[in-house]
Amino acid sequence: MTADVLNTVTAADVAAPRQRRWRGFLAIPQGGFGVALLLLLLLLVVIGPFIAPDSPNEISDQPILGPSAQHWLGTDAYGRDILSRVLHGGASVILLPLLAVSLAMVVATLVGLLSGYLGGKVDSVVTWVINIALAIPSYLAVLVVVAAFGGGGAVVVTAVAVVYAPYITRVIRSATQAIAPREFVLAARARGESLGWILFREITPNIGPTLLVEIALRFTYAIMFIASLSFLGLGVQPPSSNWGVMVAQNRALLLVSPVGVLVPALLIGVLAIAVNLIADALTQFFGDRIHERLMV
Amino acid sequence: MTQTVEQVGRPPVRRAPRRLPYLVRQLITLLVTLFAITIVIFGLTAIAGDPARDILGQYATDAQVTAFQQIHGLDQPIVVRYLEWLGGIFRGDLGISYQSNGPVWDVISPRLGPSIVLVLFSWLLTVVISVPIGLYSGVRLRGHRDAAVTFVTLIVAAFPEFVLGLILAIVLGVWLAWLPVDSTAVSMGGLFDSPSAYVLPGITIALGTIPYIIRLMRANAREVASETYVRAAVLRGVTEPSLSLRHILPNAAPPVVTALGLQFAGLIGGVVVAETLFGFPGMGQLLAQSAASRDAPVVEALALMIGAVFVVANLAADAIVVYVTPKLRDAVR
Repeated sequence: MTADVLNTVTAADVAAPRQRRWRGFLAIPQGGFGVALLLLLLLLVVIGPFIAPDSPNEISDQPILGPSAQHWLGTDAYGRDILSRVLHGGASVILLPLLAVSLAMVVATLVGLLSGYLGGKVDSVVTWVINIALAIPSYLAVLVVVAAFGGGGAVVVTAVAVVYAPYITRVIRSATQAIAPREFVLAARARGESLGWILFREITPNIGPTLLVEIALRFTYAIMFIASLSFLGLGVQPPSSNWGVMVAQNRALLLVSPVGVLVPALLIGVLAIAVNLIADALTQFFGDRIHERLMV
Repeated sequence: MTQTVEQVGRPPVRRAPRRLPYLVRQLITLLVTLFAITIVIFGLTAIAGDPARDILGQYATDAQVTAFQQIHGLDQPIVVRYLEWLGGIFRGDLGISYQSNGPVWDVISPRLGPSIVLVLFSWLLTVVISVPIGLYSGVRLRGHRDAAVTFVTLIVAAFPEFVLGLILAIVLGVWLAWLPVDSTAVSMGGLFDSPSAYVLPGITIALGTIPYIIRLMRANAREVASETYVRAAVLRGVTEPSLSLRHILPNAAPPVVTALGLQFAGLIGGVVVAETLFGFPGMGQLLAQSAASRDAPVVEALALMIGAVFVVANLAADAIVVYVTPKLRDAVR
């Protein structure tokens, strides 16, 4: 499209692979803080189920209680202990987006490398498909899929992966295009290396940092997107104690016991912030400018 | 051994092939994209298979299933169904809802007004808040204060809309009790009878896009502020606010205009989430409810309408950018 005149990516925009130690990454404030937050949350999610006082779906005859010594965060409309549900409900909040991003990354890396390196007809077709796909808002596409196939974790993960793949492909294609004319790629071609070798041994290591930034950014978006879908009742289904589902269910108790809604909501927010900080620090660490250029 | 331009020779001038005028090309792109959207929307629902059993439940009789298929044309071949659906859109017939069994248009129409007002309100809020903050922090702020703006936008951007909305609802709605946490009042009486019901969902939607626009505006303003013509203006004695408003803003605005058009995509997610969160009777809430109840005709119609607005907004933003940027104006000819 037109504004593409503004988004031309050059080799200088592609993050350079660096030899610097990872300690340097943690020294960036966002990086250290983000990693610390993420580790804390992972700890909570992993040991949570073992330290939870009650089972997450145990119904009691004491519904809608405020925080007390027995129920630290109170109970929900079915009398379930909210703290226990929070401690049990983190895994799917992290794993579903991770799965969606991994799926999308695999497809997008292959297609992006091929179309960026080969150019020509392959590239024209890929670009055309990407442009059409980007013209359809993500939310609409996913909602149409859910209306057609029904909600649930598997459908949402697949839909999000399909919706995100074109965005990732675009970034990888641009980065590949910027690297492809470099001397070492030409040398590999002159040596008669195979296509696979050139793509994965010559180009991939050089766009590795861009890939890493892209993974971190997409993971942030996917966490927010899938949590929102669960909140809308389209993703993970009740009686799961997924934090998004908990927010949706306890929303009705907002006026009576705000804590029960606030805690799972804030945990999702903190998770997204942690990953977002890491993505931001990665961008700085590698000096990546491609995402800024492509306005993603 | 360095070669001069004369020795190498100029690259041969390649004549650009004759091209259609810019606006015509944009219109063709628009139509092709809209057509592609209809295929994607319809194709997705079609490959999912027959929804009759899922909608009617497992205890429905075969006769009920057949009747359902006949009413909704599900017994026809897929191409016929697509063409009928497409033709219906031009006649103003959007099909029949699986859930209400009435025309889709009757389900959607009462929700159009409130949603349009809500979206315009939050979009205006985004422009009014983020453009001045972005411009000011890009041109004037350095050091700690600049880092503070960056940090706050990063934090706000990382919160999903429903979390931001909940925090707003708890602070402004429950603790301070300034605003209603439930917006159902909008569906009663006239469009503007309960203005306070628009505030919380409106702010929630705007907060989803504000950090992004602030960051973009700030980065562009900073880049432009270091240009020679801005420094020349300073030397000529041009002072604030004229420097920011007349010299920096016009040159830093184009990408922001594009982004504000693109942000309609961001707004869609925000609208769906905020309307559901606050019980606002608009198109977003209907979209989420219909998707959950698998009311495909309603979702298809809503997706097509919103998708069309999105595509038009994008191209409009593109066209505005092209016509206000001299460099691009020549490039697209």
